[in-house]
Formats: sequence, structure tokens, C-alpha cells
Amino acid sequence: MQKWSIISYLARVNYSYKEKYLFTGTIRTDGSSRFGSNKRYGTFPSAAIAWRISQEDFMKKADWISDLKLRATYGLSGNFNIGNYTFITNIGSSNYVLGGQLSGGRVPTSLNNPNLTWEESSQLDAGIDLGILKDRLYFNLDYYNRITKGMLYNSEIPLSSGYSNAIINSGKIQNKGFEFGLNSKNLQGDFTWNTSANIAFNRNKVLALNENNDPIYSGRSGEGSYQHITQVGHPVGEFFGYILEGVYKNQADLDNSPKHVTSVIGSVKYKDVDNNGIIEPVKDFAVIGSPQPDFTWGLTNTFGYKGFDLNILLVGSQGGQILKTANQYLLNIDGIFNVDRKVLNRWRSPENPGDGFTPTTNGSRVIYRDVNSSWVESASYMRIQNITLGYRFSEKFLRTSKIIKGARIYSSIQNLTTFTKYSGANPEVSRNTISGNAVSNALVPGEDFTNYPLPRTFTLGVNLTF
Amino acid sequence: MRNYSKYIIVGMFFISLSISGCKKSFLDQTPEASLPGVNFYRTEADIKQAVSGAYSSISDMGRVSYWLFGEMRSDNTTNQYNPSDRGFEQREFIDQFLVGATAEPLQLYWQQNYTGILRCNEILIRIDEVPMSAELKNQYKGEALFLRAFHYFNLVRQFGGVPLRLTPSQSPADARSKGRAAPEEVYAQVIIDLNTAAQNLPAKYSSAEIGRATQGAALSLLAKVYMTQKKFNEALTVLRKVQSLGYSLVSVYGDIFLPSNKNNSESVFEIQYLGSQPGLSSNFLYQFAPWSSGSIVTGDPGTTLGGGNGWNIPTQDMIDAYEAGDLRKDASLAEGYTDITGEFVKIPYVKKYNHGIIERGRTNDNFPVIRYADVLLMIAECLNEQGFIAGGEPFVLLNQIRTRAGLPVKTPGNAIAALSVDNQQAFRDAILQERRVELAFENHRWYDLVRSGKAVAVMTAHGQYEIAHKTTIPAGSYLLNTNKLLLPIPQKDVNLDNLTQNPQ
Repeated sequence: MQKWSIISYLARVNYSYKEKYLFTGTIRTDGSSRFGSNKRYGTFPSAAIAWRISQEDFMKKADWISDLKLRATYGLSGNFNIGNYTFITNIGSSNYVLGGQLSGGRVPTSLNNPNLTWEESSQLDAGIDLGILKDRLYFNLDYYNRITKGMLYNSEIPLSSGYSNAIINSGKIQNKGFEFGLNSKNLQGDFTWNTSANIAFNRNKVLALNENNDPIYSGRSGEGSYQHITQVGHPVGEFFGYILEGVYKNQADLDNSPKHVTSVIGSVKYKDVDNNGIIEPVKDFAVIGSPQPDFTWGLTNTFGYKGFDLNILLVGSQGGQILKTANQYLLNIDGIFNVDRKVLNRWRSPENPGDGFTPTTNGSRVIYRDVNSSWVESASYMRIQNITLGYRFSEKFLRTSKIIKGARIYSSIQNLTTFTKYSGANPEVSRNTISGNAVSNALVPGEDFTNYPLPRTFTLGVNLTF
Repeated sequence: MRNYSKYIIVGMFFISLSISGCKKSFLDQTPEASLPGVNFYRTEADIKQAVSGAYSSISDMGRVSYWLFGEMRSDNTTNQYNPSDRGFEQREFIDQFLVGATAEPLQLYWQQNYTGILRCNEILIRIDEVPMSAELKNQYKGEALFLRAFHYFNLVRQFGGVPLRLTPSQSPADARSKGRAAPEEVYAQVIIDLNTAAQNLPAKYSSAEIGRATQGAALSLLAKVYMTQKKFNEALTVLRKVQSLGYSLVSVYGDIFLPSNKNNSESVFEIQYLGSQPGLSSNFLYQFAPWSSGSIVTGDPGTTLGGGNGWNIPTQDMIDAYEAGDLRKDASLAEGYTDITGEFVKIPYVKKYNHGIIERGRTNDNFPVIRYADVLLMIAECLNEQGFIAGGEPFVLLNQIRTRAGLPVKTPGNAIAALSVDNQQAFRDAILQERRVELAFENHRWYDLVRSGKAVAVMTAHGQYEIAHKTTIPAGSYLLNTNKLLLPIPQKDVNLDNLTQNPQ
């Protein structure tokens, strides 16, 4: 059993003048047992102002505007989403044999960090809400800029320390973007039709990492190589691997190209990133993709006619990528695994070169199953997330019953279908790491390591009100 | 405007919790299921467990890394190429001198040694505060120092100068080292540690404690360190002390390695395994069995062999190194196995550690680190380095080992040329040859080749043989030069700790 505790002090001031000018100020101080004894407390003030322009006298004439509000918020917030007890050295067991019997052994398993403290974000939000024609059309537009400092993450540390990683606070990351929402009552009357749409653009950028701003390498392929790189000026957790150029077409191609010690004619040809004539893991790795989408969106259409209601929800994401790390098995061409169909189109001879990108099974098989650009796929998708059709019995119909006051029957389909070019099971991915530690995922985003597909759920239901 | 106070809604001011005076204890949460470091290393029982934990580093390392770098890298053994399972290609690269700085087994070996060093350092900085008898405290300190020296000796021989960490990191902020120390600094520390260990450690333990490092183990390891530095006089002095500690040779060579004969009179230090305990058993029988041998070599029809098998396969040169009639040959290796069709398959394998299985996947074989036979050969070598004597003690020691093996003695001016040893260099060669066969598959060969200055020549010849006899050797294999005698520093620590890389 694990225990954690938090102690919080909170104060808030709300002020409103004639419903036109609104102000909220909050200050909170939190102390968490998850942090080092030196720095357990964090203080997080925030302030919000809003101006409801539509309440001003000069707006009274523009009666087509039903609501107009400008908002701004600035505040600090803290994150303590790490495992319990991570700031202290933990002792695990590792036994030995003495006197021909088990001798219980204890060993340190994690490194003490008395300075571990809150990850702090400062966020500026500015927005505008506009309702017109008695809110028949309602828009929101939000801009935000969030700077996260002292990011909590599982950092690699020199192996000669006796540990391989430790949870630390470091780095500075910016997330900024726009969110736009629209609600529209398209049709009113017997037949109603409402549309609600939203779209969000987020841009993620690393502003600083550590003392020397050395890149952070993270993830681990089946061959023990890194899979992700986080570097200043780039988004967090870009994919990192070999760049696949094709296969060695013939002897001349093999002789004149940089190669790995196991390269043969027809084997995989990677780019020699460091230009030393030799293909080597990590040293010849480069950024091969990024999981960050350009935008995500959602669209809900609701229809009503008499007792019937129909609700259709679409969601989507555009421009992100996936690193299909399951390929370390699916493209293991040793001959002892079931493999991806594309291996059928492999190089067999200079005359029968296949698709030009799938290598022979005769050599250099190990580096082909290490992280490379052929694992990167588009993660863009559109999903019919939910369709619900319902019928509400009229009160007139129910009047005969003394008990039932309301009744609705409905059926819904969750996750009807997903439109995507992604070859895996689900384009919305992220691997859960072994440590069960939320922060350790932050630096290894967008990885599909044989994730479970999303289930499609059919529901039939009755709502009764008594 | 005067009365806008009536619009003011102020005053939601609440404090969710205000237990003043006990803030600190309220936020002090420590795990109950596992132990936090702050509460450990406080009692005698804690230290006892910490020392056992430190020993467990060598049993972990002993399973693969120890033979991978000490034996398979040498001319004694190679591997059986497995075309349908390339999962252990990096191990082959170690054998073929192709290993790169990012190789997984390389990093693991580095990490296992430093994990062991950390465990020792934690004990060493805490033990002085712990109430216990001075005698026991000295012993535990000695054990930790012995183990730390063992790990640093591995590191300095394989990587050259390495980060010298003598205290544990206190936080991630000081997890970096001061960079690579010079090899001489590492050796100097190893010598200090082993001298202290030798003073602190008892010569013998009760049967319940057997397996712990002894005075003899510390002294013998110290002699090896001195000999690696060519300090033969210092080595001889400590070896003489070992000679007075009551060790003796086991009369039948093959009996030395029997699980029923663990920690025998010849054993100076060995890695302890226990077949009856899942996490504590050994499995050399499996790893060294040809992967093509089914259950014939392992005697275990329930385990399918594959990429994890067929390692440390004796070379033809190794087989030929045994003189006719050498009893050690049959105790140490087999030249092949007879398959189910009755056909002899000529894939040799190490059988020094083949004594049956306890449960599927588990054997009860210990692994020798230092034997008294090794000590005797070291004494003979040191005496010869002080000056060749035609006859006398060096020959007595050498021939003691040969006689047990059922071989004729070597003498100066022997009528049979192969048995005649007539000068200092000839005696050196005789010792190196005897060590090769006596200590085969015990992870001494690579280090003996390096310290004798023969590694480049011997390994080049071995490589040429391998390339000529196998079609599976990658281009660029076995291109030996003195740079190749040191392994590359793992790339991870080159990056994270800003270490200089060894020239390759």
C-alpha cells in the first residue's frame, strides 16, 4: 500500500461590478509528500479579469449581439504527477547464496533527490466569447501561452553512478495555441438541428533543458537504442532513428555506399548521418518524425424531430505521426516470427528488387529491426466517435401510467469507424512504460508498441423517470 | 460609485487544512512495502543484507558478462552462428572485435560493475555509524572493499581508466563523475582496497557463511593486480601469504567443478549459485550447449534451444592445446555430440559446468573465480620473472599441476623437445600454455593474453582461422591492434558524463 499526502492553503477573491467587470484572484500554497524535504511547498497565484462588453450602454443599440465578453487569465499552477516516494532512495531486494543457502540481500534501487519539487507552469489565457441573435450563434476564441518550468521527468544519468535514471526537475517548455469553438442552432421548430464544432492548434517547443542544453534521449528499442530525442527549439519527444534510403541494389552500390559491418547486397541501406562511412546505431540516427499534430478537432451534430433525437460526434487529429515500434517484431526477418505483409515485396536479386525498400532476409537483419524512418506513419485520423439515436415517449402517451413520469429508449454506437492511413490498430497511441510513472511517458510520446485497439461498443438503453 | 461596495462579493477565504505544528510529519510519507534508504543501513542486520546485496552483483554478472568478456573474446572460444535467430548479434561482435560503443552487452557489463560498486560504496560510507562488533564490522568492510576492487579491476582491464567513484551520489545533481581517472589511479585504489580487505577478512568462515570473500581471495586478487602491472616481486610477496593459508589441490581435476564439491580445498573464491532457488541458480549448461543439440547436451527435453544457446564454443586451437593424455580435456570440453540419428555432430562445447539440471532452466553449478592451481601457477610465473632457474621451485609448481592432469613433467634439458624448458622465455611460454588448459573456460585467458603482450598476435591468428573456416564472419572482423584491446566506453556515459572515448 502506498500513501501520499497534500496540504493546501487557498484564498480567493471574486469581484463583479454591474456584471460588466469581473475579477477573480486566487492564491494557493500546496505541500506534497512526494517531494524532497527541502522543497515540498509551492505557491501558485492566479488572476482573471473579464469585461462583458455586451452589458455596456453603448452596446444596447446593437441588439443582434446577445453576448460579448473579453477574458484574460494569468496564473501559476503546479504539477506533482509523479510516483510516491520517488525523492528518496528506495531499497529493493537482490539475494545471494552463502553457506549453500539463500542469503537475503538488500540494494539501493533509486537515487535520492532531496531537491525534487513542483513542476510549475505559468499560463496566459486570453479569449473572446460572442453570442449573436439571442445566442443562436455562439463563438469562443482562446489564445493561450503556457510555459512549464522545472519539468518533472525521468532523466537518464551516467550509468557509472550505479543507477540509470532519476526523476528530476529540469527544462522549460512552451505550449501555445488557439482554440476555436462554434455552437450554432441551425434549425429551430419541429425539426431542430444544432451544430457544435471545435478545433485546437497547439504548438509545443522546448525552450531550455539543462545546464548545457544537451539533448535528452529517451525510449529504448528492442536493440537497446534510443527512440526519441528532445532538444531545444524542437517539440518534445521527436522520433529518433535511422533514415531508410532503400536497399543496396547491387555490388557496386554496396561497394560505394556507407555500410554496417553486416551489410550485404539487398540489405537495408541507411543514411550515414555522421558521414564517417560506417553505419552505426545512435551515431547515424536523426530526427525522423514528430507525434505532435497540427490540429485536433471535434464536430457534434444534434437533430431532433418530435420525440426523436439523433446525435453524431466526429473527432479527428491532423498532421501528427506515430512511431510503430511493434515493427521490431513485425519486421524481424530472422524467419522465426510472423511478419508484416510488406516482407513479400522484399529484395530477392538485382533483377527482382521488390519494392526497393524491403531488404533481403539474408543479411543485416538486426539493424533492419532497429528504429528507422519506415516505422514512422501518419497519425491523422477522423473517427465517428459516437452515434446515438433516441426516442422520448410523449407525456400524453405516459399519462396512462401512474408510476412512470418519463421514458426514453436509445441506441448508440461508440467508435463506429476510424478513417486513417495508419496500418496499426489505433492511431491514438501512447505506450505505458514499465515503471508506471506518469512522467516517464512525457518524453516517449506517440509510440505504438502493440497497443490494444479501441473497442466498438453497441448500446441499447431505456431511461425511465419515476 | 460611492456605494459599489454593495456589489462586492468578497470574502470567500478558506483554509482547507491548518494543522499547524505538525506540517512536517504530515508530509513525511515513506513506503511501507519497501524500505526507504533513509531508514536502512542502520543496524547490523541491515548491513548484513546490504553485503549480500553487494555479492548479488557478481552472480548477476557471472551469468553472461563475465564469460563474454573474459573468455569468449579470447582465442579459447567462439560461438555457433545461428542463422535463424540474430537476436544476440552484439555478442558475436564482441567475439569479432566489431563491438561499437552503443552495444547493449557492453553497456550492461559497465553497468553491472558500477551497480556493484555503488552497493559497496553505500556500505562503506554508512557502516562506521552502525553499532556492531568491531570484528564483524571489519569483515563486512573487507568484503565490500574486495568486491569494489573486483569490479574496478574488471573495468580497468577492459576499458582502461574509468570514473573512480568511491562514494555514492547523493542526488541527481551530483550523479556525474569527475571524468575518467588515469588507469594508474584506478589500479592504486584497487591495491589499497585489496590490502585493507586482506587485513580485515578472515582466512576461513564457518560452514553457514562459506562463500564470502576470504583473506586468501583478497591476496590472490591483489597478486593478479600486481602481475597485470608487471610488479612480480610485490605479487610474489602476497602469493607467499596465500600459500600459508592451507589451500590444497583437489586430487581429481574434474571433481573441482562438481556441485557436490563447492568451495573445496582448492577454491579461493567462486561465485555462488543455488539450483533450488529460481533467482539464484546458474544456467551455463544451457548457454554453452550447441543450439542445434536439442536436449542431447542439456538433458532437458522441455527447453527449446535458440539464440541464447551455442555460446562460448571451444575453438579447434583450444582443443589442440591439450597434450595427448591430458585428463583435463575430457573434464573441460566435448568435441561434439551424437544426435538422435546416431551421427556425431562436430560442434564442440564446454562441459566443465555440465552436471545436470535441478529444474527446467536451472543448474546448481558455481563458477570459479580464483583457484589454488591459479595461485601456484602465478607463483611459478613470478619466480621465473625474477630470473630463470633450471629446476627448483618454479618447475615443482608447474609440474604439480601437470602431474594431476596426468601429464609428464617438464624439465630443463629434457630429451623430449616438447617437455624441455631451457630459458626464461620458454618457461613463460610453458606457464601461459599451462594456464590456458588448466584454467580453460574460467575467464582468465583474455587477461593472460593481454598482460603477456601476446593478445594482438594470438587474436589475429585466431581471426584468420575463423575467417578461413566460416562463411558468416562479417567484413572487418578481427582487425586487431593495441587499441582494440580496450573496449569502447559505452556511448551513454560518453554523452551523459562527458567521458573521452577510447580510440578504436
